[in-house]
Amino acid sequence: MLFNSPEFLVFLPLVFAIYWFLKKRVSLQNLLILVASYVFYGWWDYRFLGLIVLSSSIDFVIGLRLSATTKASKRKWLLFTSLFVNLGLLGVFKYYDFFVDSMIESLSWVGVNMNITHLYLVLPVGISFYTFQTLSYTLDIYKKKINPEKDWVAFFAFVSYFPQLVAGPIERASNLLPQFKKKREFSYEQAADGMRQILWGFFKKMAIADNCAYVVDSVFSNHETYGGSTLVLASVLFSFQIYCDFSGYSDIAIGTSKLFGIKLMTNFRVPYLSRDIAEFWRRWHISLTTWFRDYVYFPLGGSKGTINKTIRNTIIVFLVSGFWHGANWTFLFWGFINALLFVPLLIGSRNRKNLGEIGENMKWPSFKLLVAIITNFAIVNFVWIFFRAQDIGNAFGFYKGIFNASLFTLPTFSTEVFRLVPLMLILVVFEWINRKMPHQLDLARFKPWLRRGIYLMVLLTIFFYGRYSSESFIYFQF
Amino acid sequence: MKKFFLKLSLYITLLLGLHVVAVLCVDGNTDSFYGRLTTPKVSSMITGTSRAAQGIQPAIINDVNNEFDFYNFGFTVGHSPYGPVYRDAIKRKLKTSDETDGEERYFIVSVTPWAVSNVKNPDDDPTRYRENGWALNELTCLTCKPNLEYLVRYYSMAWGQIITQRLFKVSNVSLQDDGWLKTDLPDDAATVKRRTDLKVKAYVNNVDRYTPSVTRLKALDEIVAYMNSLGKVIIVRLPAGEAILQLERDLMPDFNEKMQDIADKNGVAYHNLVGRAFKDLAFTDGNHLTPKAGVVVSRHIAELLSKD
Repeated sequence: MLFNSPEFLVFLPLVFAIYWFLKKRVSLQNLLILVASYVFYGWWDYRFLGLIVLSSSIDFVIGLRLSATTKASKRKWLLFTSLFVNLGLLGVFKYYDFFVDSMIESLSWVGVNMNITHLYLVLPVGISFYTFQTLSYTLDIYKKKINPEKDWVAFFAFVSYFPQLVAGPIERASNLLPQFKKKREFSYEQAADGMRQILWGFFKKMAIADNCAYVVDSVFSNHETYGGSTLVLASVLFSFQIYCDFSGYSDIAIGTSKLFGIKLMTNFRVPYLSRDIAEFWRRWHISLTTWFRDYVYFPLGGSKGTINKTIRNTIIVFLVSGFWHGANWTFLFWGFINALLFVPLLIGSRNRKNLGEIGENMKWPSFKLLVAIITNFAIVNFVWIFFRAQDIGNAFGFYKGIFNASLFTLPTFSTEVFRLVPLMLILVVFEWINRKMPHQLDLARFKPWLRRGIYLMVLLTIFFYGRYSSESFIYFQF
Repeated sequence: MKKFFLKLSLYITLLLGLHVVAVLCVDGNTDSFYGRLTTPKVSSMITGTSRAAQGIQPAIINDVNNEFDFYNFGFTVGHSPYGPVYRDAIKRKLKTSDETDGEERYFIVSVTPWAVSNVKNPDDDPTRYRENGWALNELTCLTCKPNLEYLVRYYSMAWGQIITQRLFKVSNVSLQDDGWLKTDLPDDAATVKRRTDLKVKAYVNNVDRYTPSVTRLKALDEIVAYMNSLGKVIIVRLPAGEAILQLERDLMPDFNEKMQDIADKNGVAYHNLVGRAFKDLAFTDGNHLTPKAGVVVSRHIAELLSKD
């Protein structure tokens, strides 16, 4: 089920009404969440419910066993089992055919022709997200950071919690599980704020991302017929598309969760206002980057060893992160290039230079800040081309199409772009004005008439400009 | 909770009200397909892809002979290729023999190689056909007005656009009451060349991806047979630009022979209009006839139908 689908418009109010009707019984609320989440997920394809149940069951049992035993070898085996099952599922469904194709191609370079069976498996939606979520649970129990959950309903609900099941944020058990255990009280402020965040998420997804997609898809699939300036424009539109699509989903997920009195973690913090690439990666897809930091980077040694080891660990994390996004060499390249951009900051000890708030005490960005933001955006935008391209050849073809004399001609664009520019400007202005807030429609400090006027304007913008097609969210394919 | 519901209901009421206004504003400017899914069942029909949808004008044909009362039920190569889905949709849209008053019925079946080919489906598995997830297969009603199910599930633009299109008619395509999709695109040489280049490039990519389909050919045969049981049928292949035609020859070198076989089997005529010297023959993008060229071709088809 998609957030931007008619089914969800019926599903959400129904679940919301029953949920608060059951407010005196936490266990029943959790059961409702569990059933609703399975309905939500199974709406897409009920056959893959089995995988999520399998992953949940194994990690529930392993969590209990890990806590019950102090024998180091047995604990290692239990952890290994969890890793094997979860990463195994991910590996088979997501990466098997990629490895087969890569092996066949590599062997053909040395004159060996091999026939290896492909599986052509459908990638279960959200598998990259919920496997990481359950893995973090078992890893945290192994490291004795948390205790295992004994209530299987609460645990299964934690794994399958529908607002964040298919595209994050990837929650930690230490944040989400306790919320399933305690009594939830309906809070008007929280629910109203949730609705505002949902509204903002739909604005980003329907009005900006889906409209950008229209132009981006056309240009990226026919890039040889467009001049350099048009390709640059399309890459900028893709930058907005992927940000608005993904952060829009996160806003809807977090806002929806607020309706149920459950707080999810922030997943994006105005990343395109970042001043350097290190800051960008602290503000983009925070739940994933912190997951890799805590479960890959730190176990490898983090920055505790020599500078060379720190660089090695950083590159590994970026490569793994790239690969997590998809079974394609383009994602690995994308991860690697990001690593290459990050490493100089590391070497110069400048990766933690911009930890403070962006434009502290500034009503409008200073010239210096603007230059930093635009430069960083240009770099990130440039690298996104690898992320979007179908394959490495197409990516390089795209770059080649940019860097020639046609870069200095007027871009060719459809009327769609005229509609997009004001929408993107609205986004940028709101992101700047509300850069410190959890989301950009958090307007508590504004006068009521202005607030309501803005909500109305956003609603009307979605009505008049938002694409209503059930376009799935980009990150569903990961 | 009461305060929350009260405030929320104000916004929801506004939103619902706007959607009701949009539904009231739906017309031929809404999108390229909606109108065809709201008209009552028809007696005589034109089928095919967008080449037929844009190229064959029922009003022109109906003018030639007052027995003709055509409706254009063509969509696009993605939505209405010949196959089980389109076959069943055609049957749902056509009046049965009992529902007509003994009137003469006529059918124009427009064919292209793309309409009988599949993409990325080497096993020709009908469960993986590209049109399966779309309106012709999924809608419970193809003759409801308003067709809310279509608007909710398949209308992809903002609903506000329905209102603005109705008020300002900014779209350069307009679906007529008889199902013809009228286009009003810039026709300067440079723009036409650009559109043609893009179209040809898309189809060049498709030649490698598409393969002729036995199941689709069988469905086409069934459609012709069904229509033949109701009235008079002709099969036509519309003209297209040479670049597209060459790609079609690459995709299916024996296409004309296969169409002739289907025609012969059902005792109907197959008219290959490719290469005929029509006056004012022009294309918007190397694939679709311009409205002016469509008039000429449509009149010719009407004359063929009258003669056969």
